[in-house]
Amino acid sequence: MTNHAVRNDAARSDAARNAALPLDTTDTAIATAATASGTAAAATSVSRSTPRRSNPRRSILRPTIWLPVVVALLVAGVLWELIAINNTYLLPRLGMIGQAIITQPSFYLENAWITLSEALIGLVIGFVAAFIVAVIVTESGILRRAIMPLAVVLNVTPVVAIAPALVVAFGFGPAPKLIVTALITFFPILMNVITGLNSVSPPILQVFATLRASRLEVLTRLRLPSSLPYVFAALKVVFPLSIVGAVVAEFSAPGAAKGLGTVISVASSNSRLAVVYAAILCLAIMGAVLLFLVTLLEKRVLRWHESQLLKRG
Amino acid sequence: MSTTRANASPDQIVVSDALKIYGGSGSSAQVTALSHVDLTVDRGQFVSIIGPSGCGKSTLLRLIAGLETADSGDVSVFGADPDQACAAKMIGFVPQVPALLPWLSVVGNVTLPSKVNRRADALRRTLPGHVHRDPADPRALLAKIGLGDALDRLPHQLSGGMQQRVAIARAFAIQADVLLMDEPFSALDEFTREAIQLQLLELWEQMRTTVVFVTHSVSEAVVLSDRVVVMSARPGRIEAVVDIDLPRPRRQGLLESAAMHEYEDLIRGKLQTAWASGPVAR
Ligand SMILES: Nc1ncnc2c1ncn2[C@@H]1O[C@H](COP(=O)(O)OP(=O)(O)O)[C@@H](O)[C@H]1O
Ligand SMILES: [Mg+2]
Repeated sequence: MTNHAVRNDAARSDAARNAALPLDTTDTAIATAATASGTAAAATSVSRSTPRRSNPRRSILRPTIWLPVVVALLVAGVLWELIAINNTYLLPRLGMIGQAIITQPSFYLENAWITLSEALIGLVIGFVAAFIVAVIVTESGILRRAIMPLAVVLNVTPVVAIAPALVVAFGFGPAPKLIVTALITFFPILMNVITGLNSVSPPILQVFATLRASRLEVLTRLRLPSSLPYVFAALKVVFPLSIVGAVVAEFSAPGAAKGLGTVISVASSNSRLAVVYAAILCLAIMGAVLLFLVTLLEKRVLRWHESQLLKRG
Repeated sequence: MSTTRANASPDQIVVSDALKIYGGSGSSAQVTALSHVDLTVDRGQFVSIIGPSGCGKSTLLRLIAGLETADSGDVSVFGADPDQACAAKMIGFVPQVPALLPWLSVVGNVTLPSKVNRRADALRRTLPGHVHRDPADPRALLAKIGLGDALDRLPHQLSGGMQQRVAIARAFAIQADVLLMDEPFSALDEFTREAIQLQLLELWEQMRTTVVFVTHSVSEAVVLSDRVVVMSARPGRIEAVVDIDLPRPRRQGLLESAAMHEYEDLIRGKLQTAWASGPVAR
């Protein structure tokens, strides 16, 4: 274990010394500086998953695993009820929310499906676009200097504020929702993938430089696999974000459209609180399930990366 | 750049009058990493480069590996310039850290070099300095170096010593004409290090590849090498060249022999001179 640490330190100091090598990704300073915000999220999501990973063979049946969650949910439920009992006009009782769902489950399912598909299709668009831009930007310094400022401007523009304008431009169909979702997921993916593509250690690049591996080979054999941990970190951030994007876009085009966002805005203007919170509950469950699926996939794909996660923790 | 040069022999690696300066011209942070460095390595030789840290050993290795270019002077690898030698996969590089791909198994890591730059084989045949050998079987190679039962493991499941042995097997696997190793054992503990040294020797004696081996351990240099090049720092230059005239194959018993200690003392002496003669004594 200590041995590992020593060698890692050596690798890092080598990295610093070799910064001026011709094959190295010189001049990534701008990109990495801009990355800070994006990867901060990634880093936290990585470290958060660390303790669970250290014990992969845990059984879901062991009380130490399920009891904390159940207790936490119970406490939250009781607190909710305590507040709701005296403020029914602010917070509906849990029973009322449950009843809202049970009386018309297909209504919620249908709207949830619409929001989910908007979120996922938008996410796929954002993901593909961000991935392509990340590869372009890491491969060409000129294009990086052209594209990165635009990407940064895009990132600081509140997408929530663009949504109404997009509805004006594209109508009440799915287009504005997909655009908002794609925009909102684009930047975190871009930054993480750029960091990931640049995360190949300099000694590995040196070995493959002496073999004169082509740029395409370095990209496909070294950079893309190296970026996977960062891609998953990004996915964990943007899956929930994509739902936010879809809902925000639906808010901006109420009435004529469908989806849980529309349900919320229509119901709240009619003061049907139980329906509002039932829709919110559906959104929360959707987000949690998506996150769970990504984590599951990550565990399968990144088996080789486990040691690193342990070391980081 | 022409393939053949006046001083370029197809059976030697030749570095002549190499100069390497880091830091832009005129800047105060300039470092003369190498100055007037001449080095000749014959085919099939095992040559070690030893010297205090910062004396330019890695820089010299990187010049031969074509990872850096000299500011003046000439480098040729078996008659070709380093760029061509790399393009023909004549050079196997072993860095200080194992530099394995964590998502590939041991076998995957060793076979990857043969999967990239596939045009190298055609180019090799056109170069007079390349000696053709049949491609090595990666599994046999790994078995020889003691990793026969770890073929399908991932790097993070291996000890540091095992990882470095994979890196060495990877370099041998492409049947390169020269292996360049930059302090490959410096992160290992003493016992692992001695075991790996002998395994490297055994492999080298079978494969008869040329090796340029950077180290900061005097005994390692003597045990392994036909020739030890002693460097001194600021500016990095070659202080002395010592031929090690010990019988091969070299085995465990040699480590305690009197002849070996004589060579060690000789080289330590040269290193001390190198140390003292540096303009900046530290
Ligand atoms: N990329 C670089 N940029 C600037 N200075 C460097 C660089 N690489 C090495 N040097 C300097 O050149 C000198 C020789 O370095 P190096 O070849 O790594 O020495 P060694 O391997 O013998 O320890 C040192 O003073 C080092 O600081
Ligand atoms: Mg060095």
